[in-house]
Amino acid sequence: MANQQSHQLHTLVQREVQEYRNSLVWTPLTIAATLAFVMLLSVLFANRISAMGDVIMRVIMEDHAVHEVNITINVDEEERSVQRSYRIEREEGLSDEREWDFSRGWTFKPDTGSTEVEVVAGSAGNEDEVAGSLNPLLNMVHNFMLMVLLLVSANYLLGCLFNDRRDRSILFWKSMPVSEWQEVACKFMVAMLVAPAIFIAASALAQVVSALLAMLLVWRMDKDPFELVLGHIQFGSLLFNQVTGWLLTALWLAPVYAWLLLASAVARRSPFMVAVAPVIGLFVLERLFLGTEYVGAAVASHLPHGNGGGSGVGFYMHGPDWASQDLAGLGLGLLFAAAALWVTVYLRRYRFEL
Amino acid sequence: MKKIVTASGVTRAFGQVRAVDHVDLEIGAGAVLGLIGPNGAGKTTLLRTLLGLTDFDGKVDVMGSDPRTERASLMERVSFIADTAVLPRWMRVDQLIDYVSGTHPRFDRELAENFLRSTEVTPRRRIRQLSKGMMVQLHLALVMAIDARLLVLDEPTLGLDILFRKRFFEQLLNDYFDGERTIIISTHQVEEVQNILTEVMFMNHGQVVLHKSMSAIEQEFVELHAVGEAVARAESIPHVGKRTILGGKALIYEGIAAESLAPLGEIHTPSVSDLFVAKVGGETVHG
Repeated sequence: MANQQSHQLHTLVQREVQEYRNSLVWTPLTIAATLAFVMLLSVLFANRISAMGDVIMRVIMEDHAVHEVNITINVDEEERSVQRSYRIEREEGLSDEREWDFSRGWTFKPDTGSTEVEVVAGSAGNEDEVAGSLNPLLNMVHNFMLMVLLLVSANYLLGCLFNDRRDRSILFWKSMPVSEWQEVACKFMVAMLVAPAIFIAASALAQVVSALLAMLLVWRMDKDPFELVLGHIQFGSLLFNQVTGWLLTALWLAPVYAWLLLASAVARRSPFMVAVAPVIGLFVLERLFLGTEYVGAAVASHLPHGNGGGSGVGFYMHGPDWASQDLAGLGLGLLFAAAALWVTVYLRRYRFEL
Repeated sequence: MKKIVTASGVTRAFGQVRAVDHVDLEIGAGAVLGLIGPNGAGKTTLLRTLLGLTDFDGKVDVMGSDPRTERASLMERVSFIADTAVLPRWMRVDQLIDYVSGTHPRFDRELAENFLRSTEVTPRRRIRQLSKGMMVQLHLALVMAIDARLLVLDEPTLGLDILFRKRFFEQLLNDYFDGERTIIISTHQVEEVQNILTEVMFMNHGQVVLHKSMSAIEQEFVELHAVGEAVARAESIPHVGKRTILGGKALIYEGIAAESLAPLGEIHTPSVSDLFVAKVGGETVHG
């Protein structure tokens, strides 16, 4: 029985991947391959990997400087000034190696007006930001893949309960012994887990290729690629943080994804309009009549947002920081997701024709 | 006979319009029921109530299950073709077979592939590349490879040419029907199915106009072909319908012994389509 159910689940997921093969499989693979190809061309013909090259160069220079120079950073303390001067001085003898121990704590306190920023290198929970690490560079590749994943997932969710009603193939799907719950849950799971798994795998592949190309670049510069590149990438923590970061992101995204599924089940013409128009309407009405912004805040908190880890698109790129989560907001979002899925199942059961 | 379907007081309204209006129905195991009615009569809606595809008032029992709440489990024992060309067009034939094989515990993959071997429907073809006739062949092959107790066909051959239609019903009768399975067919092509039916049900305006076995129809209805002076005498006897034939009239009587009408002309058993026209009041039979 359990075996039959898992076989059925596998078939349902396989069906989704087959139907959306282009967006769920070919898109991430094509992006990964394109990134790799462009970086390869860049390495071969320009001796740099676009933005990546700059980071690698910095790492190389830092490594080089350990033996040759001391760097003194003078921050202009003048009020509101954004100009900062940097001076690199050669010293007679070798510098004290403790100066270049990046694992020790150091502080950086520029004048930022009213806000005081303190970055502590090597602090717990922010390992990727270790000075000289190439992890942020690889996170850029991952970031880009996740941005595409979001677009692909939204497109998938808006179409998956609408397209088969439009072409009437729902009448075939309903002739199979698959319940509406199984169907809706499977589609939700594909967006929450299966598609991200494929994208994260493609992202990992692209990151490995990036690292290999970085090694090629360094080797062409007569440096040791193993020490300079592999020595500056923490593969374990990188992958762990990217996977667990997505899991937390997915929990926050759950109500948004459930809402998109509901829009797909409700829509007679445009699922996108059904998904967007009520939210905008509620937001405007609340502003006009109550003068508050609870709807906007609730929606914003469940969209990909910053975690303070320097992520460009605001995913939990650096691993989940569970302690800082707004658990009430998270819980309410999950409750909303459950309610939206319940309505979706009901609509799928009895009101499935356009 | 074991009852496969029992329905009482089934009503399905869309606003003020009652698509199905207090229908009572019993279908026994092994029956081949022809559901016949004009467009908008409520045939499709009635079939959907039996399949759990729409909400309704009243009671429906299909093999001991309530289709409203147990559709998924019911589909293990019930197959249906809701319309022509409803197969997912983006799929390949082999992917579709994989899907049915993976989700339906009573599906015999080998049997389906055997059915398809004699057709032009090859495994690697996309469904959107198939002609309408080939899509129906594929759908029928899938359905016939499912060991179901009840098969529901809602206009399965609509829009197909006569050769495909004939082959469809021949295959259904020869390769599927075994005397124990129950089949409900809704169609406009009455003449093409009447020889395989064991029961017939007429619907109009959401209500059942007639539901009888074919043998009961033979016993209870008589068609008289009267010519010349006999026409006036025949018309004076209460009848359920009449039509013009060469040189006279054909009249259909209900509950009158054939022997008593024999002096007025030739006696026949009325065809299902003629009986339908007579009972539904001369409204057009489409198709």
